[in-house]
Formats: sequence, structure tokens, C-alpha cells
Amino acid sequence: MRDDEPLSANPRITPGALAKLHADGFGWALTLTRGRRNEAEDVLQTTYLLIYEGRARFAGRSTLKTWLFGVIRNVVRSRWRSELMRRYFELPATEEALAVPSADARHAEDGIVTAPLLAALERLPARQREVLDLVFHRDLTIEEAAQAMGISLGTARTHYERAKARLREELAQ
Amino acid sequence: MTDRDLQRRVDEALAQRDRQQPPPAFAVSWQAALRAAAARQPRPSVRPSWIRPAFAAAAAIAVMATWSWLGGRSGSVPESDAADLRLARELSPARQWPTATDALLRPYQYAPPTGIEVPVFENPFEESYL
Repeated sequence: MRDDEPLSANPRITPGALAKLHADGFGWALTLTRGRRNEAEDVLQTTYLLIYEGRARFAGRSTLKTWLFGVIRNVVRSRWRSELMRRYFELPATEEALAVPSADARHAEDGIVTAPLLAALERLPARQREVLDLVFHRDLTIEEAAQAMGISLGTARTHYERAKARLREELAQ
Repeated sequence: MTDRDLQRRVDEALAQRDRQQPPPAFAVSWQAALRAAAARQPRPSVRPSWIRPAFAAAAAIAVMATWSWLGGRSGSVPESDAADLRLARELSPARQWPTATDALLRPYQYAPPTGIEVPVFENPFEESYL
């Protein structure tokens, strides 16, 4: 398959266009999975599978980047739901199995030096962290971030303002 | 700290994280997705061929039975009820008797009291006023 050849199930998308957004998509998946690299890779692969098979179909109502970020977020949420159901019906043997390691511990495991700002970002509620990532780092407008997150523009603005205020408080301490 | 400063610091921190965790090559993720798509075989149907006609027949029988039961309720009068009504009409022809349908719909209101003796209580105080 050539890079500029549209996908048969998704005629508005070419593999080349996806390749250009690959790094950003992976970074977004990392943010959503709170830095779990293996999970982010799985998420991105599942996203590509959905796009290739046409189960996630791009209609051109937004930019490809916004749409791709929305699909990635849906994949992560779907995985969370499955994981919750699995945990609900199959009780883990020990409490340790359920415990989520702290961001510092995860980053230390991966050999990553945690910047204080990253740690402060980790402490934000999920939506606030996501909207800051999209607007400050992925160059989306708040409106595009709202589309990618599947929330209204007003809600996205609220999360954006609260995230900034809370981050300032965290950094001031 | 201005918005611009905050944005610059967040951008730098996330860029640093992205540099420390570089993405896998696009071709690797894409080929893995293509392999997964190829491995997904259409699931064969496990439903036996006779199940659909069997369900259709059962549904048809249920509809006919219900229709028949409803028709019996609304159209005809059971023989014993009809005999009671005939007898009641003969005994008191002047009374406005309900139709057979009324009797069926509201049996406790219209059915003649057959075989039930209703006790009559006399009022002991009534005569003292006479």
C-alpha cells in the first residue's frame, strides 16, 4: 500500500497523513494513559486498526488532527471501561494488583527524570490535564480541544481556566 | 506568571517527556494494525439452520392462540351464563336486563345471584318510630 493512496474504508485518509500525525498522536496517547508507554502503543495500534477497517470514519467535519485525537481518546476510554468491568467481575488476588504506581515511580521505572511541572500536571484532574496538553502543547484551539475531548466548548473553557489557575497554585507552592 | 509563561513551561515539560519517550516508528504501528486486521476472520454463525423457521412457527402459533382466546372472550357467551340470563329474563320480564356483553364484562354487577342467600337483617329500632 502506498503512503499517498487513500484507505478503501476511509477514503479521506492516507497512511502518509497519519504518519505525519503519528508522533503527536503517540504523545496524546501517553498523556491519556498517564505515561504508560506500552498502553499508549497499544492504544495507537488499536486506533489505526479502527481507521483501517473504517470503524472510525473521518467525514471531514474537523481537521484530521482533531478527529484523530478524538478517536484516540475514545479508544482509551473504551479500554478503561473494559478494564473496570474485568476488575469488577474478576476480583484481584491482592490489593497490590489494583494499586496504580505514582507518576514518579513510573517515570523512575522508565528512567525518566520527572520535571516538577510534569508532576504538577499529573496532579490535575484528567480533563484539566488533557485540555492543557491539547492547547499548550499540541497547538489545538480550545474549540478543537473540545471536539477532540467530546465535550462542549463552554465546558472545555471552564476546564482550561481552572487548569491554569490550579497549575499556578501548584507551582507557587 | 502570565498565560504565555505558563504555556511555555507546560510546552517545554511535555516536549521533554515526549523526547524521553519517543514514539515507535509509524510503520511498526501501522503494520501491526494491518496484521491485526488480516487476522480478524469473520466469525462463523453458530446458529443452526432450523432455529429461524422454528421461532417463526412458534410466534405464529402464539398469535393465533391469542387471537382465538380474545375472539372467544368477546364474541360468544358461555352456555351456563346464557341459560342464567334467559331464566332471569323469564322470571322478571319487566326489568331492564343487561345484554350478554355487559354481563360478561361486568359479571359481578349484572350476574343474577344464583344459589347465594343474602341474609336480611331487620332494624330493631325501626318499628319504634312507626
